Amino acid sequence: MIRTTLAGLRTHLRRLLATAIAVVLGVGFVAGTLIFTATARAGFFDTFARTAKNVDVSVLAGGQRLPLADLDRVRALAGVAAADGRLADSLALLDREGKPVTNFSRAGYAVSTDGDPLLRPFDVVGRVPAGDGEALLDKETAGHQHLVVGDTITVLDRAGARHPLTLVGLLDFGVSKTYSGWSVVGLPAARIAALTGATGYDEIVVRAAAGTDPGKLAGSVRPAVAKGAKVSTGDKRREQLANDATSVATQFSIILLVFGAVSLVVAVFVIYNTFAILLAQRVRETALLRCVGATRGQVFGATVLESAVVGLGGGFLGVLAGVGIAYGLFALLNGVLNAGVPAHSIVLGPAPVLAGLTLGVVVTVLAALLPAVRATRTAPLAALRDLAPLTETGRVRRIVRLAVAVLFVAAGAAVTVAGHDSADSQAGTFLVVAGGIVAFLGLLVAAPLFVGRLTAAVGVPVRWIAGTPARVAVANARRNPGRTAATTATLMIAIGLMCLCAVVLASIKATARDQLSGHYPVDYAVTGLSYEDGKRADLPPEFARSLRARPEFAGVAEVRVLDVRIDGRPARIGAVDAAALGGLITLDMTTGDAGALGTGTVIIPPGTPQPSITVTAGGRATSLRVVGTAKTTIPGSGQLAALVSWDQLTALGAGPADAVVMAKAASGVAPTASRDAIDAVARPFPLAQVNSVADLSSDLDKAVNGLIGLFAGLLGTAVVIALFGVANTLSLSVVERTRESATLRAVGLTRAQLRGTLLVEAVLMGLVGAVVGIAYGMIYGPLVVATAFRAIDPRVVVPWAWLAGLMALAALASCLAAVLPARKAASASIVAALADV
Amino acid sequence: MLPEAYEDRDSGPTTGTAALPSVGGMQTIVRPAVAVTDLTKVYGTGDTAVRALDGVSVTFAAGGFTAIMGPSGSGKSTLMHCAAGLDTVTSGTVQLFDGRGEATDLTGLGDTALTKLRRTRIGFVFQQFNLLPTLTAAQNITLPLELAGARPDPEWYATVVDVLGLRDRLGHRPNQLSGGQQQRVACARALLARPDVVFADEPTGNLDSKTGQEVLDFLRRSVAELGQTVVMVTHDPTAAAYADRVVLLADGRLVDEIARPTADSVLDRLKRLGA
Repeated sequence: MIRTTLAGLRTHLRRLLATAIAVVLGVGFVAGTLIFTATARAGFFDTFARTAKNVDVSVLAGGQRLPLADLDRVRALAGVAAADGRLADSLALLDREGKPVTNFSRAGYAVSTDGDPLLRPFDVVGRVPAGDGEALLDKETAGHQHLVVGDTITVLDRAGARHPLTLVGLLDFGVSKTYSGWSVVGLPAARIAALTGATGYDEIVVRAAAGTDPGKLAGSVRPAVAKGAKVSTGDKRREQLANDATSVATQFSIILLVFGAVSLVVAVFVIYNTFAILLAQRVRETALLRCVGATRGQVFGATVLESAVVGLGGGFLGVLAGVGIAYGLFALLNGVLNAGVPAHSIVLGPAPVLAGLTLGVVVTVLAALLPAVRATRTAPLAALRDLAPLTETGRVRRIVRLAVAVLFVAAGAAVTVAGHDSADSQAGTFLVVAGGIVAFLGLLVAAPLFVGRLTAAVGVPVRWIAGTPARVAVANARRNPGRTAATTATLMIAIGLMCLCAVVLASIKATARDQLSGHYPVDYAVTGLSYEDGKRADLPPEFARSLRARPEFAGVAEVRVLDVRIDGRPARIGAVDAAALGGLITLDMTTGDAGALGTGTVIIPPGTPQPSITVTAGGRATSLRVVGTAKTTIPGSGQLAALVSWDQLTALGAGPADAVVMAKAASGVAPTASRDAIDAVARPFPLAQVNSVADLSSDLDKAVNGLIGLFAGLLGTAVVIALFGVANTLSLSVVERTRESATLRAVGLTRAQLRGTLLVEAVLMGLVGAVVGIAYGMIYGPLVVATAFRAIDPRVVVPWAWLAGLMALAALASCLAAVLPARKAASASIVAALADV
Repeated sequence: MLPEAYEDRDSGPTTGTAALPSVGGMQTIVRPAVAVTDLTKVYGTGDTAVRALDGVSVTFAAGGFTAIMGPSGSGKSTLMHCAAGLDTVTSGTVQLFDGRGEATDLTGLGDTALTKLRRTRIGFVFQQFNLLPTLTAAQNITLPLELAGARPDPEWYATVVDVLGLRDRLGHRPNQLSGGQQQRVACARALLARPDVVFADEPTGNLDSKTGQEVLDFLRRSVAELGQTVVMVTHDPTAAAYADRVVLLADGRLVDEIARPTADSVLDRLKRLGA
């Protein structure tokens, strides 16, 4: 029996090719992700082995920086060959235009350069700064700012004052990506403290004297440093650094694995369909085996063995493909998302190989089980009968199918509604998604019941355009609803997810855009430079004053914020200056009245109704009465936990400095003129970052379109697998319909028309998949948006252009998938094909 | 009435002669529907080349019912396929004549032109019926005309459907029809366009003798009453006896022909061929 199976496999290899490709792509995606994660991890380990090289003991600051005295105490310990304090803080470097060099709108860094050269996490080209007037700069920034040793650079202290420094050398961080993309100025620790106000060290690193055990040394260091500091050996520290850095890659790979799972599910459908069709075509062969004495178990075993061999082969090729995909992921993550994953030669451990092979076999065998069971029901007599050309499903089975589908959809809908109505947005979103998956399963179960009619409906305009050949195509697409359903299911999944992503992202974009333009009809939002950990420079009130003096602007609004605790939790509240509130800025009130905002009152975001809140600032608690709810997102400062009046904010202890200054250009002033004016006003304030709303909104567009593209790309594998499925179903159908096609040709269907019928059939399948997928996405997309982003009261938007594009893509790609089967069908000789039994 | 006529002939003397008449020498009284001249068909090349047809010349008269017979591998199916424009020829010509006697050389036509010609000028009846399972009987019948973008003549359509007794079967799909009914649908499909010639390839091969006779009766009537031209490939002498002429092939050559055949005379000649 095994020999018969393998011989059969060899003969049918071509027909199993699409199945194998589906396995290869699905497994490749997963294996590629695993290989990528392992490789990225290895890369991070290498990098951090360098960052913490020669470090035997590391003392890491806990909540607060390590006091300067700690270093002296550590240096005094026995067994310490050398110890250094490391200090790094945000420090803005000015470019030749006098503007801060930023990355993602954030200022760069300063790192301390004094101490033991062996303990430095970087190499120095030149010499280390000797006095207060000297500095180092990382070589990448020096490169793009065209600076060389001997030039003068300017840095800004936190108050915005300029400090010129002479460049005496360059910093080389090697492969370390810790500061990748940011400017890094090397200065003595004391100088950094003076410029940024940072006191104490982030980390103290220790080199042990020869013969001292790092573990023991760590034990003696612990009592010498501040409480809360984390003391570990160098090896532990290196491992921990690598793990932290890998977490970015790990999160990314979890997302990837979700998409990999989608690809595998799609692959299951393709494999199932292939085996179902192959076994239907092989009924005679199977029956013959039964005639000559094969038991049902042997027939079942043969199919399972066949699928296992295909799965193993596909899994093996999938692992190989995974290596290529891992390279692609590196390019994607570093090139497109700027993630800075260190380069490393591909690590191919046993885990991805085993996982790939296992997945390949399990997925393929699982998908082939049902067809295999069906094959065992073949009666030996079927060998002698002619094949029934059309399969009619029994009434009872249709009713059972319908009942199961209704059950799934109803359960899914119930869970979805529960999620949508749930008070907790996060748990609700989870329920909506879970309900969505269950409902989708119901849809897939029901698919054979409705694809026929849907195909006919979609086919109406096609028939109108293409005439009789299209009618033949529609009839062919309808003849085997189970097969068409399984083929289009793959497209339903892929396109449904794409549509869902598109709706969610477009809605987020529209909501954000509304908040930018609707209630803040301003042209510019000026903020202070932001530093690491969300700290941000304030704008002196003189800036707003000078702006108001310019005739180019019709209105200027100041926003101040204050970090407080609301009901015990840390939060940021804000206020808009009294002159602008109600004038230039109108709050988008959900309930209540913005006019009631005054001393002792507050406006909070909608969602959690409460009569009053307690705000603690500067050790003093103030109870504020809630007079309304509104969207509290302000351009440039994000979402605020509460809005109070200008005077109330001052009373709570806010200083005279603005977080955001918004400006609206006077009517008739050209955008370039207003931009020049605001830049001129900003020139004496180097910390001011001018953002035009037009820029923000085009950045937003770019970001959202990029994300839609990314999701489309990730779902692309599923689409490609789905298209192999379409091609596969068609080519198997072509084989099955050899004599029919020949008859059509004999009675007058031209070669081109025969090709046309297959292309139309493919397009119909593509459109059916797209229509169902898009319908699903348009129901669940808005539900997800409404539940997940309830706090910001989102506006649901259907991105019609994207959906039309998806539809066209599905039709076009299916057409492409049909090209080869169509050519094969059309090139067959009529006479030979007529003789085919 | 028609079957009786056959029986009459069956009981009569065989009309064949001992000498094998050459085709070229045969006198044609009526105008031709299909004329095949010096037809050669070679499959394969070199050592494996097979001469399926070796210089066959034969004319099928318009309004005649001709049976092509011969042992397996004699080339009878190849002759039909070439004459019907389904297969290409190695050399020679195939002329199809329309109602006004104008000839079209099929060997000079491209695939698309041939396909378009087949829609209205050639009808087919196959051994396996070859109906499209997805279309109803009515849709199957009108398929060639629809492909040609033409509407069937409603009167003629009604006549064909009624003569074949398909009136109450028109909405059925092929898998809901018996073999005989399916073959009658195939006959209707072949006749609806009033083609210049109908080629029938073993039309009774998949039918029991009673339904086979019904189909043959119908083909006979379409010739006698409707003036249709029918060329039938068969290996069954009884079926051949329904024709008014039998041409015999062996090894790719025309070797004999029988005018007004009977089952006995055909069997007799076939035996002689085999010897």
